[in-house]
Amino acid sequence: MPGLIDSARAVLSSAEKRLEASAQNVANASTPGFKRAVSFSQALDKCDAASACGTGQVLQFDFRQGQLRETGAAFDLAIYGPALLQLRAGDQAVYSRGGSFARGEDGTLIDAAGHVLQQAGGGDLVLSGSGDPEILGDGTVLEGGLPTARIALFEAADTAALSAAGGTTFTTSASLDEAEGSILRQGFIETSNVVMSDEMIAMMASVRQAEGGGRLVQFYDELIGQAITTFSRNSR
Amino acid sequence: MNAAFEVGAAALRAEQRALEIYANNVANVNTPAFKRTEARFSEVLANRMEETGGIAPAAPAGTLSAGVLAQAGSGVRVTGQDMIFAQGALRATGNALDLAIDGQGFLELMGPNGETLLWRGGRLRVNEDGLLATASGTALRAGIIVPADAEALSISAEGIVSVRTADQEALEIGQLDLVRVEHEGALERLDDGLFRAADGAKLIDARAGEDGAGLFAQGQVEESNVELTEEMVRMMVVQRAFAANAQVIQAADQFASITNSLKR
Repeated sequence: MPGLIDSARAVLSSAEKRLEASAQNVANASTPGFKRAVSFSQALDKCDAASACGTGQVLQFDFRQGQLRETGAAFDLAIYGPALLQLRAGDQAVYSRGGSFARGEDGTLIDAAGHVLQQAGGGDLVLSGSGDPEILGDGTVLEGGLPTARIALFEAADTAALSAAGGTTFTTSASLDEAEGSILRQGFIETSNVVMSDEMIAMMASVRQAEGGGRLVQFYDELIGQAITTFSRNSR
Repeated sequence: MNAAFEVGAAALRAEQRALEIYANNVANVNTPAFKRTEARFSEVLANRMEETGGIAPAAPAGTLSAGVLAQAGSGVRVTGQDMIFAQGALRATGNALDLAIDGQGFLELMGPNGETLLWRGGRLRVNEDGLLATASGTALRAGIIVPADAEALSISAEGIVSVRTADQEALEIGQLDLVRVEHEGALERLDDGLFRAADGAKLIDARAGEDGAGLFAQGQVEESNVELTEEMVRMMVVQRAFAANAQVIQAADQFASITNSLKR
C-alpha cells in the first residue's frame, strides 16, 4: 500500500517539475539566444535517503537553431550553425550562443550578464580602435579594414556534454573543438527557440498529470478509510 | 509553493516593462531627435558558481577552468533599454534657428552647476544675456554671444557661426564643435532631448566633418528614429507573451488547487 502513495507523490512532483520547465520556457520566449528546456522522466537507479524512488525529472536543452533577427547593432552577435562563443565569467569558461555585447572601458566586449568575450587562442578579446569593428563570418575582427583578432568559436561534438548554466549560457568539463561551418553574424540576434504551442500543450499535460496523481491519493485515502470502517465494524 | 507562480509573475513584470518602453517610443514618434529604445530580455537564474574539484589554483592568464553552475531557472527580466542611436531623417523647416546634426556627434551644453549635457540638436534661441542656447534656455558650451544688433544668424556645415549685423556686415562670432561618445550605452536620457554621459565615459572632441562626428544642418530638424510599424509589431508580440505568461500562472493555480484538494 505505501507503494501507491509513493507513486502518487512521484507523479505529482514530476508534473510540477514539468510545469516549472514550461513556465521558464514561456517566460523566456523573448530572451535572445535562449534554448528551451525539455523535461524528461527518467527512472532513478538508486534509491537512498537523499533521492526519492520512482521517477526523476531531467532537464535537457534543445539546441535547435532559433531565428536570426537583424538589429544593426555592431556588437550584437548571433551564430548560424551549432557553434558556441567562449565567455569568461570570473575565471570560469562559459559558452553562449551569442548576444548583445557592449564595449567595456578597456576595449573588451561584455555581455548583459557581465561575461567577457574570448578570442581564439585564449584571452579576452580587446578592441584597440574607437570605431565600430567589422566582424566576419569566421569570427575575424577587422578594425579599420585590418584583421586584429579573431573571436573564438567552439563546437561540442555531443551537446549532451554541455550542462546548462541557464538557457543562454552553458558550461562543460569536456574540451570543445574549433567550430567548422558555423557562421558568426554581426548585427543579428538569435531569437529564443521556444515554440509557444508546444509549451501550452506541455502545461496542459502536466496539469492533467497532476490531476491524475491527485486522484490516486484520493483513491488511496478512500481505500484506507473503507478498510478501517470495515475492520472496526467486524471487530465489534 | 510552485515555482511556476514566481516565474510567471516575473515574466509578467518583464513584459509590462517592455510594453512601457515601446509605449514611450510610440508616444515620441513626432519628437524631434528622439532616439528609440529597445527592451532586452535576459534570463534570471538563481545560480551560484561551483568549482568542479575543490578550490582551483589561481588560473594563469588566458586559461579558464571549467566550472559547474548549480542553478534553477527563476524567470526573466528586462535587463535594460538599449538606446538605438540610428540617425533620424532630416526635415527642412526653413527656420534659421533649427539645428540638426547629420552624423554621430553631439553638441555640448552647459547644464546647471556647470555639468556637461549632450544634445542632438533642435530649436535654438538667444538667451537674455545674448548666449546661444537651446529652446529651454540651456546655453551651449561654446559660449557664443550673439550681438544685440544681429539680424540673421547662419551656421555653416562645419559649425562656423556668423551673423549679419544691422549695417549688412557679416561677422563671425564663434565655432561650434561636436563630441563623440566612445560607447553610446554610457549615455543617460534626460528630459527635453538632453543626454548625460555616465561617470568615466569617454567623450571625444571632434570638429564637425571629422571622425564621423557629422555635419551641422541649419534650418533642419532631425526626426525621431521610431518606426511605427516596427513598434506595433513589437507591442503585439509583447501582448501575446503577456497572455501566455498569464496562462502559466493559471496552470500553476490549477496545480495548487489540485494539491490543496488532496486532503479532503
